[in-house]
Amino acid sequence: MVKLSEEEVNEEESVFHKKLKIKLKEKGKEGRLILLQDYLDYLIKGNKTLPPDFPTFVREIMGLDERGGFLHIRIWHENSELVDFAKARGYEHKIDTYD
Amino acid sequence: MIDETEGYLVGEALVGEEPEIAHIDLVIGSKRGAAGAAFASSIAQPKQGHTPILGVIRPNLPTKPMTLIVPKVSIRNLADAEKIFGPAQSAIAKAVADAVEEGVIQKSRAEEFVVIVSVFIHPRGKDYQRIYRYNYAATKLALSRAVERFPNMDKVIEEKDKSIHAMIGFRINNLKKPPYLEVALDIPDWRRVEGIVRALPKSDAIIIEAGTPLIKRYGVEVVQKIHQLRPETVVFADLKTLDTGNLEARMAGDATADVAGFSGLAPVSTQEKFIEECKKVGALSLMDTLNVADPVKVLEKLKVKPDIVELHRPIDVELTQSRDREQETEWGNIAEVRKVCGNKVLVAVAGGVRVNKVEKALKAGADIIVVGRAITAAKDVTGAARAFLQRMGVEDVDQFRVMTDY
Repeated sequence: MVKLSEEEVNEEESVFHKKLKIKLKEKGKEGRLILLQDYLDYLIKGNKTLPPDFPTFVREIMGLDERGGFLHIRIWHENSELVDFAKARGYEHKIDTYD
Repeated sequence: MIDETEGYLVGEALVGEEPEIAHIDLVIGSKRGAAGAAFASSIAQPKQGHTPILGVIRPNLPTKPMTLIVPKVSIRNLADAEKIFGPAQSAIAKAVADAVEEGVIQKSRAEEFVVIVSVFIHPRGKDYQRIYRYNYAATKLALSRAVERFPNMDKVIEEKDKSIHAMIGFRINNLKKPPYLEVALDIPDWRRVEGIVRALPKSDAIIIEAGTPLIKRYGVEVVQKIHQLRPETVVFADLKTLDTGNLEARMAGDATADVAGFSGLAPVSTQEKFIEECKKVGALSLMDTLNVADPVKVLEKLKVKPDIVELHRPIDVELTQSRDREQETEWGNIAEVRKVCGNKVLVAVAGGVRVNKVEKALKAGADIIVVGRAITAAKDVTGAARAFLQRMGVEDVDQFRVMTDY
C-alpha cells in the first residue's frame, strides 16, 4: 500500500506548467509544417542541440487543435526554448497558465 | 636563465579582447639544443598556410634573439597574411628586443638563444592597433612567464578545479567542495525537465541528475541538452549500468556527462571497467547502491574505487514504507564506506530527503544530498531548491572569476 505524508501528497499535486499560445503563419497543415521547419532552422542555425523530445514535439504540433489560428503548446517555464524561438522568429505569441 | 638540463623554456599568454585577442605560445632555448633544431627545420620546411617568418623590427632588421613566428591559424588570403606580416610580426619582434633591454633575457646571451613564437590571429580581427598592442603584451608576458617557469606546480593544482578557460567560457566542477545538492530529474517529460532546469538557482553547489527514466525515454544525449541550458552545472547521467561497463561509461562521457553512474549490483569486472572508462573520458564514477545488501563488501572487492558512492533508498520503497520503518532503512554506514575507499570518496544519500532531514544527513557524513520530488514537484522550484541550499549552509558562489593574472 502506498503511504505518502501530507507534504508529499501536496508535492504530488502541485503543478506549475504554462502554455505558449503561438499563432501559425499559415492555416492548417501547411502552417504547422512551416512552424516545424522554422523551429528546426532556428535550432540548427543557432548551433543548439535538438531538444530530446523533438519527435514527440512534431507529433504534438501536427495533432494539436487550432484555436483562432493559435496552437496552445504546454511549457513549464516562461523562458523555454520554444518561447525564445517564438520571439526570435517573430511569431505572435503569449504565455498563459494552463487550464 | 636556462640551465643545460632544461634545454628550453615554454611560455604562454592570452591578452586582449575578441576578435583581435592575442594568444601566444612560445619556446625559448639554445641554438645548440632542441629549440635550435626546431627553429632551423621550421625555416627549411614551411607548411602551406603556416609559413614561418622571422621576427623583424623593420624590414632588414631582425630582432635578437632570432625569433621565428609561426601562424596557428591557416593564412588563406592576403588580408590574413598582412595581419601576420604587419602588426603581429612587428609587435613580437619589438617585444623580444624589449625583453632583452629590460633584462628578462640576458643581453650577453642573446646570440645563444632562439625564440619560436606561435601566434593566433582570428580571421575576423581587423583593428591593427589592437593586433599590435595585444600581441606585444602577450609576447612579453609569455617570455617573462617562460623565464620564471610560470606557473609552479602548486599553482596548477590549486587552480585546475576552479578556473574558467577564456575560450570555453565555463568551468569544469570536480566536486571538491562539498556539500552538494543533487536534484534528481526522474520525470520523463523534456519540457517539464527544461522548466525545472531553468528554474533551479544558479549555484556551484547544485548537481543535476539526469534520472534513469529520463535517460530511458530520450537517450543519454539528454545530458548534452541539459548542459546546453546550464554549461557550468555538473550533470550526472544515472545509467545504473549492470553490464558493458566501459561501453556505457563511454556513451555518458560522449554525451558530456560530468558524472556517470553504475549499479553496485553489477559484476565486479563491469564495475571496474566502468570506473576505468570514466577516468579515461574525464567523468567521475558513481556507484549506486540501490538494493545492494552490503555496499562495503562490494567496495572491498573493487580494485579501483568509484569517486562517489550513492547510498540509495528506492522510490518504490520510499512510497510504500511507513514512517516507523524509515529509520531502519536509512542510508547505512557512511564512515565504513569512506574508510574502504581510502577516504577518497564522496558519499551521496538518496531517497525521501526533505528539508528537515538535511542536517541529519550532513551530520551522518553525507557530502551530497539527493533530492527529487521535494524540488521537482514543488510549486516554486527555485524556492524549494534554495530552502535546501540554505539548510545545507551553502551560499551562492559567484561563477565568474575575473582574470587578473596578467
